[in-house]
Amino acid sequence: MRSTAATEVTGGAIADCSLPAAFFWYVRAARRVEPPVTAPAVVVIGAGAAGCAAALEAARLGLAVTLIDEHPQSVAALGLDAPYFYGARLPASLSATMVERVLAANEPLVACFEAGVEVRTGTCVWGVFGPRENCISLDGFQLALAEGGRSEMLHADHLVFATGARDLVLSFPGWELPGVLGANGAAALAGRYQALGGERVMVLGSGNLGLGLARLLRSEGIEVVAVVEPGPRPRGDANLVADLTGAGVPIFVQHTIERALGETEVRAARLVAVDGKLQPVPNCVREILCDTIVMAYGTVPNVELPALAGCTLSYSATRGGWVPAVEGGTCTSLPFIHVAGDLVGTGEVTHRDTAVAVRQGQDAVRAIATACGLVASAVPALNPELAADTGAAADWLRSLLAVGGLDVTLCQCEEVTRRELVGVQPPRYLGSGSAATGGIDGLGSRARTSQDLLKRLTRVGMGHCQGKRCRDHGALLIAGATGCPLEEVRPGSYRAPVRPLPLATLWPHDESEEMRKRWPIWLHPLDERAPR
Amino acid sequence: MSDLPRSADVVVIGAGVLGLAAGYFLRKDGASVVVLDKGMAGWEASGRATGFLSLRGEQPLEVPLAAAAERLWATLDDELGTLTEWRPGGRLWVAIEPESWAELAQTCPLWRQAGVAVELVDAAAARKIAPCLGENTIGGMHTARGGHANPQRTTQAFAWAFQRIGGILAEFTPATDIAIAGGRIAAVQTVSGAIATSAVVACAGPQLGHIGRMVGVEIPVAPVRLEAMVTVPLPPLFEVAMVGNGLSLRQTRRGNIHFNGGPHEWIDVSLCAEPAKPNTPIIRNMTRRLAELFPSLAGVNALRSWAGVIEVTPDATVILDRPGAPEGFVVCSASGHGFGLAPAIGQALADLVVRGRSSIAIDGLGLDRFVGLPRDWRAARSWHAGSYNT
Repeated sequence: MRSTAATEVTGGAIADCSLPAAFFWYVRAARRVEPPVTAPAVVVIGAGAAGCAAALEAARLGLAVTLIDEHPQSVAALGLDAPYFYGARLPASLSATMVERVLAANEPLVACFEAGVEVRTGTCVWGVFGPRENCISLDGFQLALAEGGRSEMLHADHLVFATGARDLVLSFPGWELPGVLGANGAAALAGRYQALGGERVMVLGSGNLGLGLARLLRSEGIEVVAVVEPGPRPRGDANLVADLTGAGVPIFVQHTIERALGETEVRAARLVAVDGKLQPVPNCVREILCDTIVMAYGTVPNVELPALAGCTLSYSATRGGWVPAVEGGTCTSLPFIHVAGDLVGTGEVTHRDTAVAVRQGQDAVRAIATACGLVASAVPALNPELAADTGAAADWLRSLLAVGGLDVTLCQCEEVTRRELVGVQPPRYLGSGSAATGGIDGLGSRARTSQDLLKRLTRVGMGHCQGKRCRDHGALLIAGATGCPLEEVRPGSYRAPVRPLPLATLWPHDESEEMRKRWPIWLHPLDERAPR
Repeated sequence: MSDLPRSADVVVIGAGVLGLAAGYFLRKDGASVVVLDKGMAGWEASGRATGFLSLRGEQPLEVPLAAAAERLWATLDDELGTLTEWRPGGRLWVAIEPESWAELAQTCPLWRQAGVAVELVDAAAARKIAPCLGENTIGGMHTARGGHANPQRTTQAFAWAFQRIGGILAEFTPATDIAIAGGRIAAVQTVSGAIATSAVVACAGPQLGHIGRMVGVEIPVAPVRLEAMVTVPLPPLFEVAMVGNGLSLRQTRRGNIHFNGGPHEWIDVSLCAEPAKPNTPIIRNMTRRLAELFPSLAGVNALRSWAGVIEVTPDATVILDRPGAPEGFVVCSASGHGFGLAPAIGQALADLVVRGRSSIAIDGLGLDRFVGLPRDWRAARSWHAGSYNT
């Protein structure tokens, strides 16, 4: 409708620039940190063991380094179940001293401050944008940040993603109740935030993740009423098992959870004994009083940001699923983007200690420094065996299906059950007006293994948790329903913002006048010089 | 694909909403039909669209198509046996700046002349139609006609209905060449073998240029990548399909506000590969514009963004044609606004194949209007890859 708007590019500086005008304006106005003249700008995302080690190494080598971490998070951010599955029992507010506590609890982060790293806590990275196919005009890679209700863009010459891993979530009846959460969520709430809100905890999973969490909880004075394992023996480190059993923590092997019990919050868990084929044993049910149930089945690398950046992902069962494809231990398919820590892969080794993560963080920065000619050559990178226990998730799901069946909520945000996913049922808000869809077999042989397509049709993964609670569970179900190997289930796309954020936060305070004035409305203005 | 037939009455190239609608009406007419796609049905622009029924008073040639589409939409759910989320909620163009209000005042009588029953409404009336509009609203242009639907569900509805009546959908099966014999279409070559046929319906969107070159027909289209977003689901706020403050937006049946607009990058596409569809920081500028339009929703979370690739014709108007050489070749581009027109376009394409002429008026939408278009038309107007439409 705007037929008269100017289409001429005016102004010497812009006309002389080979960049398309729109982006020239955008980038010039948006860049808050100019690329340093001497040292390249390294930005490290994630202040866990790997990220802190990377930032410290960068500071040691004289690189200009910024370390960004989304913790401490607001209660609103925790409520989105990102990055971890925190569940529905969140404190109404977090104490004012929390920032100090979160920082003080992270010794490597304190060391980063002292080493002169520019540290930005409470800052989430919700996007990463750069020049690539069909977007050739962006000027370098930019991170999109949000902090304190404002967003900004940050230029980066080199990126180290150390974004960690999230909780693997496999549902059971009652998992919506306050008091059900994931192992990483529980560890963060119990340790960092001192806000678990429970006193009697059941841990589902006996790998190092679950055993380590049980140890952490006990050290915080929280009772662990049981560790549950569907397989015949505990999966994790024998010393951890011995410590727990020595302290009187029961480990129920060959058991699974039938449901969480409670009206307004978790009151107990009902366990069922399972046989060697993970099928329920008749009349072998027990209820255990607890106020908290933790899913410690496993963890999944947080690949959203490298995926958005355009890094190639590949499936690796031994690294915990879809991970950035790396060369030399930490370098992604984009040479200026490195990865470290649980993002590279997560498994029994990384769940036991942080040595691998620290080494990867250092390796990543040394590789960058080498590429920049700042050090002669990189130390050969670590390429460790991470020993992801691929059987754990499959065993858990098999036992949960055997006991709970298909009529269990899979997607909490959009209220979709397992049956509705594999039956490709339209969402409930449409009522019953749709004809049968033919189920998953009614889709093309490759369409049926596309999580994006199934998401569109069933809405699984469309909600505010952005699929963090249902993506992996859904992939396992699709693999089972189609008979395809898990790695052939094509994961859903990742989309910015990777944390839901208010419009007012995303608002571009740095917007240029040109962007305001020359905003086109749906392909208008048409060029007046166009032949008719 | 082993079950690709060796022959068919008609091969449709492109399993977007236009190709599937054409396939559905052709199959319903008794033809044996294969719809090919380089990827999944509805995976490109059709699954990423705003979801509007386009009503464009400034382009009178398209008015009969829009009117026919509106009639078909009224019963489309029953026709296809799947809910498309069609909502005949009307259209509203909103002005929050004096300049856009002046433009609406100019536009309104021209559209009425073209047969689109729009009227100017004041701020109070606009805010009655969409109570979340801010106090900065100056006024709007409204019509009870038109509406919006869920593009993904609609495209899949056509795909299912087409297959239910015996149509064959071949995904991940790009057409790589078209054979001509004696001036007539003879076969379509695919990566999975050839299909003998006497008729091809080209609905390949951004790839139409490539398809046209297979048969010596110049189809002038320029591919472009554009961006869209949704908020989290909200309670019902408004039913109209809205344009305002530089955005096109609707509230989905689920409750999300879907919005798009702004600068887009012209690109080139290849015949068989899926084009990359990255987002850019422009999504921030989009969120500001939505918050300006609906100030009370500034605290609402944006949930995701995506991008899509569409093609634009030189005059941003639909191409619907059976050019005659080679005989049996039928082509359609909706220039990026075909979603809501799809039922009518599908019917018109089926008519063109089966009867040689469309029962819906499509006069003036043929390729002959581009005679004399310079070969370098894209470059001449800065629509070449990497350029922006600002």
